[in-house]
Amino acid sequence: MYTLFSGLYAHMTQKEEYNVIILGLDNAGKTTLLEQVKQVYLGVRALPPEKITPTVGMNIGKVVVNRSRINLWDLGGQDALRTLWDKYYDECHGIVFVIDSMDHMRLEQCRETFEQIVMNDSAEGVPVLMLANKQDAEGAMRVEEIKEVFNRIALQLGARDSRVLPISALHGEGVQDAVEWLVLRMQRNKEDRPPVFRQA
Amino acid sequence: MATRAARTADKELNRLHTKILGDLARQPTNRLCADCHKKDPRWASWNLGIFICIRCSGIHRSLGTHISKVKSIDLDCWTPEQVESMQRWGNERANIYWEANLKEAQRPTDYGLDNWIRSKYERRAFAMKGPTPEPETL
Repeated sequence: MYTLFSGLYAHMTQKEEYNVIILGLDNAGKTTLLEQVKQVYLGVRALPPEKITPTVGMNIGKVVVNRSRINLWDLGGQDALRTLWDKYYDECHGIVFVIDSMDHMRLEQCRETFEQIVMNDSAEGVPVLMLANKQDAEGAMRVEEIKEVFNRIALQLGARDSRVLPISALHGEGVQDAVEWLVLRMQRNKEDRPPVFRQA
Repeated sequence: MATRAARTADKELNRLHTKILGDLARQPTNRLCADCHKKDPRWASWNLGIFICIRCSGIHRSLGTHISKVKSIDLDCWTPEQVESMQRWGNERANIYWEANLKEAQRPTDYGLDNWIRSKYERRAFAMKGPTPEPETL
């Protein structure tokens, strides 16, 4: 009888845990985004941008959204660090790809980098969210322009969930919508990529 | 801008750039961060042509890429133009220009470093008058 109830209790209180990796070229705003997510969901003050140094290694954030635990891994974006990204694909349930909307020069490089991610077998079927960041800045490319470039990869994405959303990681606009979109897709995709179950 | 494939395929060129940048960073004038004078900077702003420490590189990135374009000496692939800019400028020449009117009392404190860097490059508060000169003339 005890086992029955303790088992039931454990089942009732367990939480689904999803892992999200935040990728993108250097200076796209990945760490600023993570800081903003922590501010929205945990209520801690985000680090001011001038205190954010280039990430060498990674930053981690843990938040709860829709009763699921979300582990966010913000990986460094420098050239040499990008080769480490594929070590994380196996364990992730969702990918956030941050694009610097101010960086007209590197948009093509950005697209190629993204293409390599979605073509990787270990990341197959994982929902991907592209975020056109820095929408607050003057001279930022509009989402439509960015979509046009990334639509060329749409075929490789196949049936998986993907979307481009505008955000300003600096001011927090669109951040909550973005997180909620991704969490919903990961929950829907749980047959394919089952979450980890953890006690609350 | 060259494609990523083309850039990584050119290993020889990357090795050459790493060597040039390594030698530049070892020059006495580039051994200290151009802004806070911390030892052994491993980051750079290639459009300004200066070597900076990781903390100052964070402040530079927050200025926006229209003012400063930050790259890592060790972790990034460089283009020939970017390397050339570092060769032409360097910390000494850059500071002759950017700190021409800086008084000793105006040197940054650890606490106000972000505002100081903003004054230096965004408001050009200490820079020479007139347009940016060719670095060779400094």
